[in-house]
Amino acid sequence: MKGKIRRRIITIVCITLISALFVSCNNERNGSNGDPNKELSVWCTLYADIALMYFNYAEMPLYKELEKKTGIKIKFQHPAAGQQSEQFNLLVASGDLPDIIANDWLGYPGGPERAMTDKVIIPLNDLIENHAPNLKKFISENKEYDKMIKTDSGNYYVFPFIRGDEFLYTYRGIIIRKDWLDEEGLDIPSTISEWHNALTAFKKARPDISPLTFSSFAGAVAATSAFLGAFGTGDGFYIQDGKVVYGALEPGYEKFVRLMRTWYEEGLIDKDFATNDSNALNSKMLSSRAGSTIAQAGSGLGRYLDYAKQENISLDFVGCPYPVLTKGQKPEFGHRMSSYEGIGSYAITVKCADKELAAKWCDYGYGAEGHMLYNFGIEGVSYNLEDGYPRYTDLILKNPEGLSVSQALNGYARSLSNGPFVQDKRYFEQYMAHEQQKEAINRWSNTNAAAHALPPVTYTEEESLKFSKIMNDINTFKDEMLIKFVIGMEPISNYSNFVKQLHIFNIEEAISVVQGAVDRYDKR
Amino acid sequence: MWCKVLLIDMIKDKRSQNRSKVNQNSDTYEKAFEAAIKFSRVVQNIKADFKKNKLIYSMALPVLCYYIIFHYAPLYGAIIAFKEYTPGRGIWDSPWVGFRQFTAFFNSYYFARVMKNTFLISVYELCFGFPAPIIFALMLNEVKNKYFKGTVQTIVYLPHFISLVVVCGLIKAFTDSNGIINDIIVLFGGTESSLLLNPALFKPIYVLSGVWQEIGWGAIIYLAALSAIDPQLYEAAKLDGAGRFKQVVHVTIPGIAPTVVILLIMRMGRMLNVGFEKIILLYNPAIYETSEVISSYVYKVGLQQFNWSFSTAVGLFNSVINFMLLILSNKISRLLNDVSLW
Amino acid sequence: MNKKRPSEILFDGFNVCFLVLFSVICFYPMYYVAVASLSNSSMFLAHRGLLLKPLGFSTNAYSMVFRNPMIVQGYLNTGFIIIVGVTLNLLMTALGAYVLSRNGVLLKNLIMKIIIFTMFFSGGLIPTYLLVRGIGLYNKIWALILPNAISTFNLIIMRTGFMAIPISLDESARIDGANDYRILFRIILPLSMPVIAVLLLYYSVAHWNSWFSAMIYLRERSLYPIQLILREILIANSTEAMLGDSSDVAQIGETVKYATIIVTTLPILFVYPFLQRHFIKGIMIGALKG
Repeated sequence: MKGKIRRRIITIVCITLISALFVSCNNERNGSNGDPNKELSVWCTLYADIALMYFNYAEMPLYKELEKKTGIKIKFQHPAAGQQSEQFNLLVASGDLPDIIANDWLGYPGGPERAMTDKVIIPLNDLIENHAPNLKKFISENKEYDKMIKTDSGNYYVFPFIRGDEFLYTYRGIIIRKDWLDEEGLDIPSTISEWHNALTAFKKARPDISPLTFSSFAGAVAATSAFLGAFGTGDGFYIQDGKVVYGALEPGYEKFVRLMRTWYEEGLIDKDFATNDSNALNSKMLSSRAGSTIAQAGSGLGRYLDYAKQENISLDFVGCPYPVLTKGQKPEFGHRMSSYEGIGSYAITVKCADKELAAKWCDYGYGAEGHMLYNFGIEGVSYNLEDGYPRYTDLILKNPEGLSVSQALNGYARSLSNGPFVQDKRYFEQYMAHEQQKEAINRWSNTNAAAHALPPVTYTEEESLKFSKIMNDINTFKDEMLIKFVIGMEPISNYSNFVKQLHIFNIEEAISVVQGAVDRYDKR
Repeated sequence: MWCKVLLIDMIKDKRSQNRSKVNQNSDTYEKAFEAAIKFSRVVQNIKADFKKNKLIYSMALPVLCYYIIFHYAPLYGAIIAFKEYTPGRGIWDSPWVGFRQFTAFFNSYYFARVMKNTFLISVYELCFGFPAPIIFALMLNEVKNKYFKGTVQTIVYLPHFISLVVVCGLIKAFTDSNGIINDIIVLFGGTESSLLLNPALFKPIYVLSGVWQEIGWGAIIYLAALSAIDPQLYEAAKLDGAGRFKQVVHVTIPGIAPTVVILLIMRMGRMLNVGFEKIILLYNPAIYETSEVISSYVYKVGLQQFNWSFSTAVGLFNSVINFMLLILSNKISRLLNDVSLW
Repeated sequence: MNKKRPSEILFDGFNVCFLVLFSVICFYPMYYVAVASLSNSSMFLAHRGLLLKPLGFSTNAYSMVFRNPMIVQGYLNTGFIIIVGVTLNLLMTALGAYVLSRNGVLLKNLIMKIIIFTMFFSGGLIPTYLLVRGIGLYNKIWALILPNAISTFNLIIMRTGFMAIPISLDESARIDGANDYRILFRIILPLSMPVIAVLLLYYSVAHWNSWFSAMIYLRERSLYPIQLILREILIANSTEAMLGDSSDVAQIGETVKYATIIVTTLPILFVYPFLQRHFIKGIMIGALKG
C-alpha cells in the first residue's frame, strides 16, 4: 500500500519535472527567433545584484530600450559570476567565440596585442575611423583616452569603460567617528601626530574599543597608501620623479612600518586587524567597537550612515584627508583609480560576421542618447530631467518595493557597474546620498596621487611571464612580513633583511619590466 | 588441450637436442619457449574466461566505456604540465618547456613550507578526522532509543550542508579576541588574543573545525555498515556471555572492519589533497608560514596569470605522490589483513 | 533482557550526554543561518558572535530571494538532474560494483586498476570541456549527468558492500539457474539496501551541491541548477574578500545570503531522515526472509 503511494508520488514528480523541462526548452526555442541579420551575441558578466532580478541583460529595460534605439537584437551570454576568468579561458580555448566579448583585456596573458595575434579579437582602427563616430569624436577630443585604448603598436582594441570625471576616481579613504572627536573637542586629524592624539584620546575614553581597525590591511594600504603616504612613499609600483619605483624599497616604508608597530603596541590598532573580514569590520564600526578605518564611500561610509539614520542612533562619521607629516602639506599619495582600467571593456572578436554592426552597437554608448541611457536609464521611469540635470526618480532612490539604491539602480542603468560608455559624475552625486560622503570624497581626492599613478600599460608575453613569476613570490612575502612587523612577530630591526630578500627575489628586474612598459606607453 | 601437450613435447625435444650447445644459447631458447607457452596459456585463459563470464563482461562494458570516454579520452590534456600553455594557442600548439613548470615549483621559495604544511595537515586529518566518525558511529550504535538515535543522526549531519563561507565566518567570529573561545579562556584565567594570529593554532583550528563539520556525514557509511551486521552474531555473543564492551570488540568492530580499511586506503590516496577554499577563507598573512598549502599557493599563483601549465604540473606531482601512497597502502593492507582494492 | 552492569549504566549516561552536547554544537550553525535570515538586515550587520534569536524580525530577505526569477526554475532543473542522474548513477555503479566483486573474473584486477587510475590522473578542465562540446552535450542538461555517471569512490564503497554478502547465496542461486543479471538485481541489490541508501544519499547530495560543471557547460541561464544560483549570490560577497575589491558596488545584504542558503538547503536535508530507516539494524535479515 505504502509502496504504491510512494510510486505514484514519484511518477507525479517525474512527470512534472519532465514537462517543466519541455516548457523551458520551448521557451528557449521561441527566444532565438528574430531577424538573423540584425542579431549579435555578446559575452559579458551579469552582476550578482542584477542577477537577483533578471535572467539575462536582455530582460533589463535598459537593453530593451537599447534594442529599440539601435535596431540590433542582442543575445547575451553570461558566465556565472565569480568564475569569469575560467570561463573566459574555455571560451578562448574552444574557439567558439561570440561576436563581442566584454572583459579586462589588459589582463589577457601577454596583453591585448597578444589577444590579437592569438586570433581572438580584431584591431578596431578602421572600424572606429569609419563606423564609430561617437567614440571617434570622444577620443579625438580627449587625447589621453586615445593613448589608453591602443596598444604599443598603435592598434585600438576596445570600446572602453571610462570614468568620466575626477570625482569618480576616488572613493576610498580614512573615516573617523565625528561624534567621538567632538566629545574630545578635537578637529578632524590631518597629520600623523594629530592622528596619534585622536586615537590615544579615543582609547582613554573607551578602553575596550579599538581606535583604528582595518579589514585586509595589506590590501587597504596597497589601494590607498593611507598613513604610508605621509612618509613620501606609496605602495607597490608607482612613479617618482619620472622613474618607476617600488614602495617597500623606499626609506619611508620602514618609517611607516615602525609607526604601525608603535600604534599596535600602544593598543591603538585593533588586535584582530589582520583577521577581520568585511563583515567583522562592519559590525565593529556599527556597534561602536572601533573608531576609525579605511572605508569606501558607498559600501562603507554610506552604509554606516544609512544604518545610523535607520536605527536612529548617534553614529557619525567623517572622511579625513590623507594624513601628512606637517600641517598644511598636500598629501602625496591617496586612493585614485584611473579613468580607464581595462575592466568591462568591449572588444569585437574574429568570429564576428557583421563587424560594422558590432561597432555600431558598441559605439552607441558614447553618443548623447546612449550616455543618458547607460548612466541614468529611461527618462520618465528611472530619471527626470530637471533644469538639464538628470535626477533619479523615487523608483531608484526610494524604491517602493524596498530595494536598496544600488539594487534599484543596477536594474535600470549600468552606471554602477560598467559598459561601453563614459560614466557620468552626476550618477555618483546622487548615489552619494549623504553630505558626509561628498565631503569625504572631496577630502580624499585632494592629493598628488595622479602624479604617481601608473598608466594602463601593456606587457609583452615574456615580460608578463617574468613579472608574474617574480611578483607572486614577492607579494606573498611582503604581505606576510608587513603584518609580522606590525604585530611584533618579527623585530623591526630585521627590516634590512626583508629588503635584502626582496632583492634576492629580483625586484630590480620587475621594476625594469614596469619601467620599460611605461616608457613604451609614453611613446604611443 | 592436445596442442599444449605437443608444445611441451617439442620443448623437451629441443632441450635434449640443444644440450650439447652453448649454455647461453639454450637459455634464450628455453626462455622464448616458456614465454610462448605462457602467452598461449594467457590467451586461452582469457578465451575461457570470456566464455564463462560473458554476462559479467557485458556488464563491465558500459562502465568501461564511460571511463574511456570521459576519463581517458581527455587525458592528453595533462601534457600542458610540460608546456607553456596559453588559451589562444591551444594545447597542441603551445610550446614545450620540459620540466620547467616542475622545477619552478620545486625551486620556489615557498616549496618546503607548503609541502610541510600540506603534509602535516593531511596527517592530522588522518589521525583525528578519520577515526572520529567511526567512534561517533559506534557511540550512536550503542544508543537503544530509536528516536533519540534518529534525531542525533539527523542533527549531526547538518553542518556538512552549510556553505564554507558561512562556516569560516563563524569560526573567525568565535576565535577573534572578543569571541566566545576567548571568553572561556579568560574565564579560566588566561589572556585574550586573536587565535587566528597565532601560527601554532591554525592547524588545530582547521582540523578540528573540519572534524566537527564532517563527522556526521562521514559516519553515514559506517552506520550503514553497522546495520548490515547480522543480529544473530550479537545473539550468539550474548549466549557466550559477552558483555556490551566485548560485543563491540568481537562483533561490531570486525563487522565494519572491511569498510574501515577500504576507506583508509582511499584516504591515503588523497593524502596531499588539502582544498584551498577553506584555507583561503581562514588564513591571513601573519600565519602564512603554517597555513599555506599546495593548493592555496597554486590558487594564488594561478590566479594572477591564468597559469594553467603551472597548476597542472603541481596537480600532476600531487597525483603521482598520492597514487604511490595508495599503491603502498593497498599492498600493506593486503599483507596484513587480506583486504585490498585489487 | 540482561541486567545492566553499573559500568554499562555509567557508559550509557556518558554516551547520551556527549551525544546531546555534540548535537547542540552541530545544530548551532544551521540555527544561526535560520535566525540570521529572519533578522533585520542592518541590525544583523552590526552584530558579531553568538546569535540566539532573530535581531528584530523581518522576512524581507525571503521576499528578496523569491523575487529572483531563477529560484523556481533552478529547483526544477536540479530536480530533473537528481532524478535522472541518480537513477543512472545507481545503475552504472551497481553494474561496475558487481563485476568487481565477483570471484573468478580474470580481468577484474585490470579493470579495477583502469578505474582507480582515473581517480588520480585527469586531463584537466580544457580537454574535458572540449570533449563534452565535441559529443554535443554543450549547453544541455545532460552535460551535468553523463560525465558524472559514476563516482569511483562510490563504486568502491558499493563493491565493498557487495563483497560482504555471503558468496553461498549467489552460488545457490546459480545452481537454481539464475544468470548474473538476475543475481545482481534479485539477490545482491535487495540485500544491499543500507549501502544503496548511502549511495543514494551520496549521489543525490553530490548532484545537489554540484555547480562547477553547470557553470562550465551551461550557457543558457534557464538551465542553471539551484546551487549555481546560490553560489552566485554567496560569492558575490566573498570574492571581494578574496581578491581585494576594486569597485564600490554595495554588497548584497547578508541576510539575503542566509535566506538563500535556507531556501536552497532545506529540501536536501529531508532526504536523510527519509533514508534513515534503511540504516536500522536487522534490515538485511528482514530482506532475507522476504
